[in-house]
Amino acid sequence: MSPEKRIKILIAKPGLDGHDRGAKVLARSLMEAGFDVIYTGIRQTPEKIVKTAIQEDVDVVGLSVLSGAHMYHFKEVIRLLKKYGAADKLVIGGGIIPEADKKKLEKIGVAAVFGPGTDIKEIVEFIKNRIKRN
Amino acid sequence: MNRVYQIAKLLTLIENGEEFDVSDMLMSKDQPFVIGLTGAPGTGKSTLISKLVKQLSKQKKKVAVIANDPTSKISKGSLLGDRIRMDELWNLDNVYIRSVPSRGRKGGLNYFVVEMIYAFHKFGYSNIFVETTGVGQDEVEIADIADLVINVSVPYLGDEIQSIKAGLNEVTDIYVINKIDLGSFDAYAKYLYLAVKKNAWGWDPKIVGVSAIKNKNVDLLIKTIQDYVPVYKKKLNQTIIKRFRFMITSRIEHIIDTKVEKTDMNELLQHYIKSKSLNETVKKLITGIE
Repeated sequence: MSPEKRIKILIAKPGLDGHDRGAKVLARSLMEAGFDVIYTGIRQTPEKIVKTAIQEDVDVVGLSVLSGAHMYHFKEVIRLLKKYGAADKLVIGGGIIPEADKKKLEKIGVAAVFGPGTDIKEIVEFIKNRIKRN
Repeated sequence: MNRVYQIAKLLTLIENGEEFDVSDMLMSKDQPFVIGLTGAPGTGKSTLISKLVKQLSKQKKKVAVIANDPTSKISKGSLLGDRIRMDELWNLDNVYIRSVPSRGRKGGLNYFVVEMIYAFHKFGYSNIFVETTGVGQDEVEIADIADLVINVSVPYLGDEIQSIKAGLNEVTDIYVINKIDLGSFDAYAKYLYLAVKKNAWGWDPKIVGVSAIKNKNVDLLIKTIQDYVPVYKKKLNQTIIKRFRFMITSRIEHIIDTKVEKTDMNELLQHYIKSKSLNETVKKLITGIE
């Protein structure tokens, strides 16, 4: 038997933000790119996202925020991942995030931020390069 | 959190086909109670599980959910979205939800779902819900792994002919007609009664109308599940044999499916054209010997 571990990604929307079309399109596209995608939808708290990421043993946590509250939510998710010993998970983000904040987010441990108009292929390649599977 | 990690990693190993020894647990008197929920997509299986788990978790029981969703035949990826319906469970420390891709196995269940059940059992989860992918009439495998099969449907789904057909109806222990807030319970129940037949263990399958989203009659369903407990105990020996058979056949299927997946079909077709025998071709596929 030759087990083939697929890359597993959690897509979640933290906070009070109902703009979920982007997250849904991305979830579907990542599935079509061959990933296992867990979609948990809108109005998630950072605590909920981190617990889900741990239970599901995902490799990547993808957060989508269009409400402007990205600094708080991303920071919280990263802090809680560290607190629960799951800092090895790759955190990526998307949404309406100003350039200046992107740099700040990358500094605190967000691997990449993908804004509107990003080619899905770019995200797929990024994830495949960062999560190596033999 | 440490134990959650251990389970999480163990489940990943199992999902990826690594062997997990369940032999001692299979022979033990202490067995998990496995409740299987099956039915067409969109009938409300995940929402119903959420309500049932919430009730059961109040009794301080450790409850696990194994939620299967389909894998794409085209990309091999999966979109797992059952958890979204179980949002209210996230903060319960005695509840563990795991989304599982079917990996294309027929029957709406992952190849290694029995091993996953026992992985949870090893960590003290004695009540385990297994949700199949959305299925149709013929996917009866859930009855091979679960102690109790709940078949979830919705009002106006069929008529008496559907009810007397073979398949899922024959292995159902409890029929749930969900979404009765949206349509008549009787309109479908009057046909579904024709499907009901006392099983070999003396259990008369029940029909329960609920509205999971409105939390209506969920308590009645729980009572019906409790009524079933003596039946499950009676047939435990047979269930264990069935689970063992599922593990064996699943592994065989996994080996063959993986082989077919990796085979150059064009090349195999050439072999068939030459040999003019499908049996010979299959032999070559499996053994690699011409």
